[in-house]
Amino acid sequence: MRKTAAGFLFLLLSADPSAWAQRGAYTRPADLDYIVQQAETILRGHIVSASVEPHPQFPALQTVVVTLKVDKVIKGKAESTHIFRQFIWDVRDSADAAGYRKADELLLFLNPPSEYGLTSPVGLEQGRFRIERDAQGNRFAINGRGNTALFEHVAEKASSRGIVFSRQVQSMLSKRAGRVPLDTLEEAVQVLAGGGR
Amino acid sequence: MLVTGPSSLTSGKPYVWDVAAMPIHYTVDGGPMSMTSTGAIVVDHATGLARVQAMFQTWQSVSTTAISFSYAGAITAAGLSADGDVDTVSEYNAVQTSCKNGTQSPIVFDSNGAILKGLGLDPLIIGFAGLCKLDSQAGHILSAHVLLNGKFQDGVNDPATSNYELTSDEFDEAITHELGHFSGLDHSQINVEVFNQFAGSCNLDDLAGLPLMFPLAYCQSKKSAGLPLLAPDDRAWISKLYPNAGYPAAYGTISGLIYFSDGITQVQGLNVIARVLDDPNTAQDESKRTAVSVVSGYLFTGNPGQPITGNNPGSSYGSRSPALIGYYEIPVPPGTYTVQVENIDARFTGGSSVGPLYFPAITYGAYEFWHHNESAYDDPSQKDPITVTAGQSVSGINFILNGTPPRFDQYENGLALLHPPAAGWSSARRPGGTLLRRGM
Repeated sequence: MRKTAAGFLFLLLSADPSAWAQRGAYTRPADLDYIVQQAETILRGHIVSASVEPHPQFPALQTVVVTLKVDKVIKGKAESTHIFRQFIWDVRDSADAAGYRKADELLLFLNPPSEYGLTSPVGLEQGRFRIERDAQGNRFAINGRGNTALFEHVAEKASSRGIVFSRQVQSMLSKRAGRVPLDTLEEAVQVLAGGGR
Repeated sequence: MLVTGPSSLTSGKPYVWDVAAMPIHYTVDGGPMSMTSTGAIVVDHATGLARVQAMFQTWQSVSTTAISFSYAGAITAAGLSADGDVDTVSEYNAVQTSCKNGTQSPIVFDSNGAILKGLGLDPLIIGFAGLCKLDSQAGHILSAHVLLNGKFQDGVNDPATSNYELTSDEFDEAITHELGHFSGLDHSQINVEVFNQFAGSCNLDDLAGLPLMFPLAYCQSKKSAGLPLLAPDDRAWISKLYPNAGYPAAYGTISGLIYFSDGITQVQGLNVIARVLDDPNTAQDESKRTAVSVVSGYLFTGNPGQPITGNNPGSSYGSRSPALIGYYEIPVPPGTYTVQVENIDARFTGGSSVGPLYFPAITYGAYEFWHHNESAYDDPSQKDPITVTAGQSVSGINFILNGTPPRFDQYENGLALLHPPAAGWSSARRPGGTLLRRGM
């Protein structure tokens, strides 16, 4: 019998999962910088509605249509109400609108819409953050992968572009998983998106 | 796994392909599996087809399962060219139409990622699988589909253009995982401690017991490590869903219930693992290598709904029987086992979820081994071995978790509210709060 050395625990800090599965999908992991650069629209808001319906042009393709009341736009353009349509392929996603629930607050990093009006969060659940509040009302963000490996290599990539982060952001980037303060995450996103601080 | 709901004749049963209608016929994209952005073929059709057939064979080769697959030729669909090559979203829609009709179960080669792009999905997706048509009455899967992103096999690894690459072993392992979903299997959590190790360099004991249906590919490919693709957990569950005549002589069952500290309220959503006892005379850790798991309440719905507001009828999947909320059942090869409970890893949410709950039910006091004198105040590290012989069902392996918050106070009858009300609920005011009572 071999025991795993306790010292292995810290090695998680350099972990880089090779692929995530989600509702029948395997996706490569993406870091925050990739997600920001890939996203055409980054916004935060509350879900007003989420309904499952066939694509108007391709009726065999099931989609979820999500309507958001937009509270903040960090990248791209969005009106006060933003509607997007996402392709879903799993029967469970059809049953629960892919987990989009009325009144939930989300920070979304959306891919450019395709020629057929379809989009999705970058890396699926990696680009979809839910906003949580603690007992004091502080807000935190966590994506569908628990923010695992989200900040891998972000500091190096940013540094190579001459980006300097605040102390709060630098501290956040040292985290390997778990929720992070919403304000700090949005500050990092804004800087990575080229909007400055 | 997807479980039949209230509309089924047999609620609380996993959806499976009809064993009486084996083999499962699948069709395959008539085009190449992978080509470059300039149109050069990297993995041609014949090679791609052979790889898909080998992936199906991986599941079919389990000696105790009756599941079998048969290649039924190239994909056909109205509007699709005769060669069955699916290249566009329009063609993909035609293929999906036939899948939803139950006409065929297609394997689509998105050879250059163009279909994914048209679907508004990004190039990080390696592949996906889904069930197309179900018979909710009988609890049968009638058709399913898989899409493979050939861009991961085009020989180009250029992060600047979001064109990533996997080895053929890694890619095939990912797609074989998807074929597990195609077959009706869901995710499984065993040896989650691999997260404490280097990604891509897990120790062999952990890797050998790590299910192929683990929610993510974190370790090195099993093939590259000289290990079978399927772990004991994968083999046990494909056999339990599709047992053949050899299954009863090769497996027994351990079952029981998980309770909160009150000893009467069942807990849904905890991972239960049966691990074979380690043999101290070998260099290997058998308890890591041979383990089978399930999630408590796996047959119960993840969303029972509620009638108060009238806008949540609940999921159409999963049993509503309260007796199944904390129930688990694990198929195991004959041997001596310890049984333990643990939380589902917090990372496994939504599409990566393990078991019926969308978000893991992180429960204080969830980490515990089973022993004969279970109580809310026992030593959670104490473990009694359980010997299981072929064909034997060892039931009543119940857990009582330690230190969980009370569900009711000293003035309430904890048993009274365990069952859904026959009549409507109503509220009654009393000092200090509102009580919900039934049958008033």
